[in-house]
Amino acid sequence: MGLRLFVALLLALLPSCSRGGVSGADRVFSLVPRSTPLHGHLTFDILSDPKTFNPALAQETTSTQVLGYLFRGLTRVSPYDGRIRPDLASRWTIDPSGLKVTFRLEKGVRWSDGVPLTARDVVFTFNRVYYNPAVAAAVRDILMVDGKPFTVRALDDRTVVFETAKPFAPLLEELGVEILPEHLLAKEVDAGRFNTSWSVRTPPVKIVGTGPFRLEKYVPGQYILMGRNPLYTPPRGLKGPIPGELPYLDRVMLRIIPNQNSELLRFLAGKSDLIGVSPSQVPVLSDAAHSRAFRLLLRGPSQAETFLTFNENRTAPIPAYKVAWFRSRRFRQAIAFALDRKAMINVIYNGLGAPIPGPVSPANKAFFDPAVFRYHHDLQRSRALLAQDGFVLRKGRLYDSSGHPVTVLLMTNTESPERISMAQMVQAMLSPLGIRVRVVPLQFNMLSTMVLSSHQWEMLLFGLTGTLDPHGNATVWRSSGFLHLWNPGEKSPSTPWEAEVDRLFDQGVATFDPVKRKEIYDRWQEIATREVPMVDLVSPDAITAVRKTLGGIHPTPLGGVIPHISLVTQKARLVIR
Amino acid sequence: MIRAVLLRLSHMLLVLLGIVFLSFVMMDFAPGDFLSQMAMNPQISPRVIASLKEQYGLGLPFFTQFLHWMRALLHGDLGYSFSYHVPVSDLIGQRVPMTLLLTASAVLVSWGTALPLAVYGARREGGIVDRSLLSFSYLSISVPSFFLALLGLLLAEKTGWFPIGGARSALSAQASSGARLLDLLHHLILPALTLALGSFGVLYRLMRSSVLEVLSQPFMTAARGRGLRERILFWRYLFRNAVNPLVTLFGMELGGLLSGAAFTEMIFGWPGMGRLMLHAVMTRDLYLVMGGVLMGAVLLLLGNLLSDLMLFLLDPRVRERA
Amino acid sequence: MKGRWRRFFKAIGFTGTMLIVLGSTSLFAEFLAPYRYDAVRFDLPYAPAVWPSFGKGGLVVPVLTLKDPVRRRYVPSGQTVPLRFFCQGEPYTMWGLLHSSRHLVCARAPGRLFLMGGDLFGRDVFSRLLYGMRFSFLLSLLGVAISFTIGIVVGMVAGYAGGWTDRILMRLSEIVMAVPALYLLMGLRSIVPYGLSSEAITLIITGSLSLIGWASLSRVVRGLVLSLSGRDFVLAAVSAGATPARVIFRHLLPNMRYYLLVSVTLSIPAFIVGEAGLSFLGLGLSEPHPSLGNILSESQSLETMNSAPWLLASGGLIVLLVVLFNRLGDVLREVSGEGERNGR
Repeated sequence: MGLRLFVALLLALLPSCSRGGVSGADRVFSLVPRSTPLHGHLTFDILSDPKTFNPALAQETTSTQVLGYLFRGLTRVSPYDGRIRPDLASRWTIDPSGLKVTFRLEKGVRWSDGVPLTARDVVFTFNRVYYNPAVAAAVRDILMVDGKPFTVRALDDRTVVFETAKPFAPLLEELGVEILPEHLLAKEVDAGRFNTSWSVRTPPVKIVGTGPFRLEKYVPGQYILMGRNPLYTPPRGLKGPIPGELPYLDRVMLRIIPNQNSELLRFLAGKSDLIGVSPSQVPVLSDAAHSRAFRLLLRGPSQAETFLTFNENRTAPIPAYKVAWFRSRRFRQAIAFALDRKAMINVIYNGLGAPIPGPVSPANKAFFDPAVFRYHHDLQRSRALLAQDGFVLRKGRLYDSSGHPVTVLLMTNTESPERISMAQMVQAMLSPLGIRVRVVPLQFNMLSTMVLSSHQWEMLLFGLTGTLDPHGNATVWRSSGFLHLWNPGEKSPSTPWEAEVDRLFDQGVATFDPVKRKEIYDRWQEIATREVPMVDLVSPDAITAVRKTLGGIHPTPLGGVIPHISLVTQKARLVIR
Repeated sequence: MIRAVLLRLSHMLLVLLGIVFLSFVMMDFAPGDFLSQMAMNPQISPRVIASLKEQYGLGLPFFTQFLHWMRALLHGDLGYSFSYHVPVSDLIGQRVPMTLLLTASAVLVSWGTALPLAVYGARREGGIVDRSLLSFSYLSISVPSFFLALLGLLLAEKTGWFPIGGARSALSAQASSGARLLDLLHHLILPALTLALGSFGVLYRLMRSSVLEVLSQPFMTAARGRGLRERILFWRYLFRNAVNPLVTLFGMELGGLLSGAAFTEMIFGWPGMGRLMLHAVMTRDLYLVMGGVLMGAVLLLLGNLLSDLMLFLLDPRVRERA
Repeated sequence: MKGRWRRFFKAIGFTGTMLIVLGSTSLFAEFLAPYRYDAVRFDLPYAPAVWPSFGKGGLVVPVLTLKDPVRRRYVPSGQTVPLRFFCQGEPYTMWGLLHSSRHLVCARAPGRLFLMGGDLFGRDVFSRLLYGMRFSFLLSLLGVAISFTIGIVVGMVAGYAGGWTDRILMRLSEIVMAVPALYLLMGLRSIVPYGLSSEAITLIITGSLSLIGWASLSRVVRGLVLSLSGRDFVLAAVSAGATPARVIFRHLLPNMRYYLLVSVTLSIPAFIVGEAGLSFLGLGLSEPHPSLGNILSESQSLETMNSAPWLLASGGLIVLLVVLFNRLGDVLREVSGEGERNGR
């Protein structure tokens, strides 16, 4: 009897959380224009707490995202074309030798506490903070050439000179790192307290930057409130479409919501203004009832990448015959031809994604080589390639020329459900070739130990954070690189093509001429797609849902939907009935 | 009695030592550490990681690390969180009150409703109230807590009666403390109710079966036969005996106050310990994890002590033995 | 013989019968499920349920095509395939010894029988539920057996022996309880060698869950022993010179069985629900092997609820199993209570 009542309860409960529950179709939104687009508030949700307010110590994306509003660097990357634009530095000259760059700082820039920004701050930031071995700065490496720091000198109050031992083409992009105030932080460095300074416990007024906003309040686990910085001087060339001082917004409110479901629900209920959307969330958001309140902006393939790689390390503690398979280009190409990327996109990204042909994402227009070879789904070719290598198919299982069955462990990290799904698809897609794959999801820490220290892995499905400049891939593609995953830290390149890639990266970093640089990196992309040490898979489309009340929104594949935070306005109010 | 308590306290210290040692061993046993997270970042070189490792003291041998930590602990220093760059005690100090608020109100609600209802239900066994409460308790036991929390969120979105996640609205600085309190309570309702709902079922069923058992005992019949007043019968005989097996449970419930709400906190965005610890364990933030373990252990031991004391006071048979 | 069976079913009632039916269904999952748990169809992600209907030549199944991959909308292609019974399908090995490829029902290739819809990879949810239920049964029964054996033994010994034995055992249980379960599980998982078979991982999950589960039970048992050993009948037995074993088995255990029975019926569901929680954190049984928990944890995002609400059926099944076990406990309690009254 109790059971029956209970089943009835359950039945009553279930439908409410299916289709009807999510759509919120009963709600009517309407937009009421505001008298002026200025002085608005922007609210959105982030998944976790910032870990520090000290830009030199920030390591994960939440902290860097917040700090991006509070601090600026000498240069910035234009979200429209990926070119380097002035920020704190108003202009610069590159010495013909390529060894020296002279920056002129923007006039009249002041820290949010009123003290003027000078070249001394820049020198302090590099020499005393980023290059200080006692500071836990993770960015130190990108600010070095061959392990040697840049020489940073101030010529006068507004002129700074950067000198490098060798020509270093990515210099301008790397100098987007945040500049810190000497007058506040020098004493922290002196006292050896820098690693705990400007922490999440520091009172907000003490955190002083040059960005468009300044920190007003941080309640741990709940929200971060930023107010407009009245002393903000916009970078040269940045102009808004409407008269009024930048930034247009008065406040930016970031709520910390550690759960994607709640984030989505909050957006649907009108509590936040924009939300990054994964392709699988699109059906929930594309409901007609919401179309009046917000729009979905699709910006084409994102920078996120996923790849499959093989352990080609002869000293690795795995059977030598497996390493021999992986070292064969034909075997790797056979795998690349066996994967149906379209199915991956359809299944995992609801059809909203694109195959990634090579190591540079098509989204990176400045460096992507459209002529690279694109692997398509072709099992005949896979089989032919395997047969050329002496593999034979018997009773549905593949055996190598010495009779070993082809069985492979495919590792990936448990934290990413998408990667686990992709690994399972790889497993299913390789089974028609007779290859048995066992997917092993591991926690990130374990995985990185396995791959980088004990080398006890066979195949790996993973993704790395890329940079716009291809030189950011040097640690992965140079044969001596520590993240040269398939064979880390080689003494000397073990194959001719690796040697050529090494040469290309050496040339690329020293070449300033954009056309010549592109040619160099095009050659690298051709080698990479021919040799496929990493089989690049698919990338989801970058999608953002934005409330229609927002102005100053311009979706670009590179810069997200907000080209510059100070240009965002609230044009209207959202009214929910 | 006082001697017994003192003895217990000295044992507690030993247990505490055992717990922290075991936890430290487990942390050390698992491959990788806080810095392995960075090892896969192409922009960070092994050299930087090695120097960080030295700064954080992660390269030291296991026993040295443990002794360092213990020595600092004796000076009241819980260590330093690698990911937040602040002392662990600061972080825990922020989160503990919020978690206690959430879990304590949930315990209050679940015990406050389940016990009286169970007594009522058991005395009218098989009645409509009993049957529906029993079905309800099935539901409460069987729905996983993360799922229940999700349903709570959907409810909030659909009705608009409750805020969707978080613990506070961004009130203006001028808001009165009363308004702040009300705001906090408004945010508290849903997560506390979901938590309470989750433990209601077990409590109801245990208490009900306990009451039923006491009711079938001969002494109850005898007492009733003697014509004792209902109230005395109820409090002296029925309730006191029936609540006995639950006292131990109550002690455990106290121990779970800090860690028991992790899922609920995560889904409702409640800024509590569970969420902090989950993240710390995932990122292997060693001293933060150890600090959390220590806090949880102390609370658990206190809970156990309290339940033993309560058993001692409630049950004359236990008292005699001690 | 027949009468005895009837009496047995009557005694355990509707609930017990249901449990037996569900248990044996999951036992014969290989035969009953139309597909293997890992049989994928990447062209049918989150396909809706497709029921057989009467067409030409008996029962037929319509073939679906994916029309809109973004919203996962399907349209019938107009084609149908016949449904066959006791047919040859994917080969399997039942219980590790029985090789066969005979299934109860199958539908030939482009068509697919989705009794309860498909999951992300176009795998049949109905088949996966059958296999997942088997895992849940296995896990909970095994887990309860292990944790109750340890818990009862420890609790009995501690409560009965008292003194230092009691103190040491109880401190031990406190240590186990105080190290956060999640953390213990993560630690245990990370020292387990990777690449193990699913059976081994099942055992490890069960083992680690029960390693945590015994501690609280042992404390409760100890408390019960303490309060029971003050009772007259126990004191009488002791003073009559009964051995501790006799006191424990003849006097203490029988008097605790109400409580233990209720605890068992509460613990089995706790294991099932506990596994779901582990899956939520990605620590449960790993894909492609199904468990009720990992199917539910797949369904718990809003987008999945929106496009594949049928995955929630795993939640429904968890609820059903939990309720059934609880009811079974009540029924058993009533039956044993009656037996007691009649017997004495």
